[in-house]
Amino acid sequence: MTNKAALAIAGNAERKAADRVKAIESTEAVSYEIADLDSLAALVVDTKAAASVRRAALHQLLLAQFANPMFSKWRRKFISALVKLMDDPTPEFAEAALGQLVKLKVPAAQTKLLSILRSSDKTPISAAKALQLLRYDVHTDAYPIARELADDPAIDDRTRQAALRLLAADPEAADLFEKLLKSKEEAPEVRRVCAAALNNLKPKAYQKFAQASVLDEHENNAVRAQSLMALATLGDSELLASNEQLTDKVKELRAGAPPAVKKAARLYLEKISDVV
Amino acid sequence: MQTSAEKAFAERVDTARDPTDLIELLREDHVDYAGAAAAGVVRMRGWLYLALARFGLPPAALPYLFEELESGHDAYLVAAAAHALRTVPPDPIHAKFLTAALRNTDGRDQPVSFERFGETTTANAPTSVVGEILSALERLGPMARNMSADLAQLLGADCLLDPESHQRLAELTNSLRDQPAAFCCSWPRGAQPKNSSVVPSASLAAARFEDQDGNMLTFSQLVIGHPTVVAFFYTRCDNPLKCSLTVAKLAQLQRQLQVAGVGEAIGIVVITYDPGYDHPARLRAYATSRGFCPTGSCRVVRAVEGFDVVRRHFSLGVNYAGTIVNRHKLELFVLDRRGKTAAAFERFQWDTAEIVATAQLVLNPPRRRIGQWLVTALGCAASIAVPLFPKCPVCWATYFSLFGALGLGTVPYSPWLRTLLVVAALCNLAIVVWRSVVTRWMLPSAPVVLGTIALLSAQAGIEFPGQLWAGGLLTLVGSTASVSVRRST
Repeated sequence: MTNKAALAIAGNAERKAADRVKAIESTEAVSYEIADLDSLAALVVDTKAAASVRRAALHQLLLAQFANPMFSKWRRKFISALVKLMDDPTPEFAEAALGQLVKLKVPAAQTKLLSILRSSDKTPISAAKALQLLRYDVHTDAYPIARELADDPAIDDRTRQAALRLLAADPEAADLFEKLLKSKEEAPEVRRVCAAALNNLKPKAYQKFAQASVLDEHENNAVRAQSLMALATLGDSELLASNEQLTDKVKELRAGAPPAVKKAARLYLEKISDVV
Repeated sequence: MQTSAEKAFAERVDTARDPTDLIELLREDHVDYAGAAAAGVVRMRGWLYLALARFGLPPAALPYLFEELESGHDAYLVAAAAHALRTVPPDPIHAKFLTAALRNTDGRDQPVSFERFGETTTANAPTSVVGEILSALERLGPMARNMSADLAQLLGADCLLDPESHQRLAELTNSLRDQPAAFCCSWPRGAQPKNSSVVPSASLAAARFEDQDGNMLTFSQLVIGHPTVVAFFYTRCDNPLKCSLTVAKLAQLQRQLQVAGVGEAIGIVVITYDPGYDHPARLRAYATSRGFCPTGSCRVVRAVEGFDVVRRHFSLGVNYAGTIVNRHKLELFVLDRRGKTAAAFERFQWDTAEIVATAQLVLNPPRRRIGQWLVTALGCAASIAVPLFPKCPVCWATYFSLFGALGLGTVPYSPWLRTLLVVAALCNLAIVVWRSVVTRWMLPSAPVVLGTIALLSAQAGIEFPGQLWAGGLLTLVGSTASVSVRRST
C-alpha cells in the first residue's frame, strides 16, 4: 500500500480506530511528501479523532522530523500545528507539543509553561512537567518561581525536585543548594539533586562538602556514596591522598558499609593508590 | 509571559512621538532590559524594530538591524529586522545581510506574527521569517545583484525552503541573472560603525580575574606589556553564531598569529560575561573543544571581582536577568601594550585576517621616516626662498649691504635659481595634496594652496602688503600639518 492510500484510510473518520492506526503505522516516514505531512498534521490536531489515531500520527511526524529529507521545507507548518496542539485538552498531546516547541525555541511555548507554573493557565499539565520542559532553555524566565517552589517544603517532592533540577543552571541558587544539601531533614533524593547541582555551580564547595559527608558518622548512605563517587571521579588525587583521616575513614567504609558505599570506597582508594 | 516591565516598555514604544526617542532603546545595555528574561528581551526588541519601521527607520538604527540579520537566531527578531528594513530606501548593502539571514535560517523557518505585542508565534501567523527576508530581498530588485551567486547557491540547497518560498527565491534569482552589478557595499550615511579609543582607568585595578587553570590575575597582568586581543563570550550562549563562533574564530586567530610569527608577542584574552557560572574547568573545556589553546599570554578568564568595572570600561553591550545574560552583541578589542584600546570590532562578524593585520600594526606601528621630514623641510625652504630671492638691483643692493655688514662678502647672482625655487614650491604643493588624498585629511592642503598662490602671484607682479610673509607662513603651517598625520590604513 502506498503512503497516500494508507493516509486516505487513516483520514477516514468512519473507519475503526484500530484500522486507522494500522494504516498510519504502515506508512514510510522517509518517503512522505508535503501533502502526506499535511494529512498527518490534520489528524494530530483533530480533537474528535481517537487518541490512538492522533498518537500514531504524531509519532510518525516526529519520526519524519529526523528521517524525511523534505521535512525542513514543511517545518513552518509543523510549528503552526504544534502551537495549535499545545492548547489540546488531552495532557499527553499538549505536553508533546510543548516539549517540541520549547526545544525549537518558539517563545509561545515558554510563555505557556510559565503560565502553567503561575496557575494562570488551565492546560492540564503538572507543574513538575512544566519545570522539566523549561529546562530545555537555560535562558528561561522560570528561575524566580523555581526558587520559590524549591525552598518550600510544603510543595510535593516531584515538583520540588523538578524545580531544583531546573535551578542547577542558576548560579544564584548555589546557596540554596548548599543549605538543602547540609540539611539532614531533607529527603535523600532532594539532597542528591542538590549535590549534583552544587557540583555544577560551585565544584570547590561541593568537594568540601563531600569530604565532610564521608567523615560524618550520621550521614545518609546514599548521600555518602554519592560524595565518595564524586571525590573518586572529580577530586584532586594529590589533595585527597594527603588527607589521612579521610583515607582511613574510606578504608573503614570499604570493610563494612552498604554495597553502594563499599563500591564507591573501592573506587576512591583505587584513585588515590597511584599517588600513595 | 509578559511582565509589567515589558508592558511598560511596549507602551513607551507605542506612545513615542519621534524615532530618536527610541534609538537609545536599541542599546543592549539599556536599563529597560535589565532583569528581563531572554524571551522578554526578544519580545521587547522585536516590538521596538517594528515601531521604528512605522516611523521610518533612522540610519542610526541600521547597524542593529544588520547585526540581527547577520548573527541573530531568534526567529521573531530576524523577521522583525527584515520587515523593518523594508521601510528604508533600498541599498545594495541590505542584500548582503538579508542573504546572511536567509542562510542562517537553514531550514528553520518559523511562523511569526506582528499583530500584537508579545504575540510572536500563533497557529495562524500571517508571515514567517523566510517570508519576511524574501520580501525584503524582492524589494531590493537589481540592487541585490551582488548576492545573486549566494542566492543561487541557497536555491540549490534543496531542503532549505518550503515550496512557496523556493518558488519566490527562484524567481528572484532569475530576475537578477542579467542585471548589471550594483556598487557594493558602502555604509548608508549615518550608519557607519564608530571606533573608540579608551585608556584603562585606575578603577580597573580593582578587577580580579581567574583563568582556565585557576590562576588569579589583575587586568595589568593580563594585557600590559604586549598588544592583546580581548573578546567576550559565555559558555551558556545558545546562539551558535555568537559565542561559540567567536571562540572558534579566536582559535583560528591564534593559529594565524603563530604562522605570522607573532604568536608569543600578541596575547589573546577571552573574558566571560557569566563569571558566576563559568568556572575555570568549564572555561577550559569550552575553549579547547573549539580549538583555542590557553597557553602563555592566551587565556580564557572570568572576573571573580570587579566585573562591573570591566563592563563599564569596555562599554559592553550586554544585559542580564539575574546572573544570566539575556542579550549581548559581538565585541572584540585590540589593545596596545599599555592596555589602551587601539581598535574595536563590534556588532558585526569580524574577519581573522583583519584582526591579525590590526594586531600586527599595533605591535609594530609604522615609524615616521626621516625622508618624509626631509621632503617637507626642503619644500618649505623652497617656498620661503622664492619671496626672499633678490629680483631687482635694489634687492641686490640691500642683500650686499646686509652681507657686507655681516662680513659675508659678495654672493654671485644666479637667475636660474629662481626658476628652480618655483619648481620646488610647486613640487611641495603636489606632495602635500597627494598626502592629503592618501591620509584622507584635506585640511593641510588648503593653507599650502593659498600660500603657493600668494608666493607665485608675487612673482607674476600681483602684490599686496605682507603677501610674501603670509604665503611663506601658510606654506610652512600646511606642510608641517601634512606630515604630522600617518598614512591611513
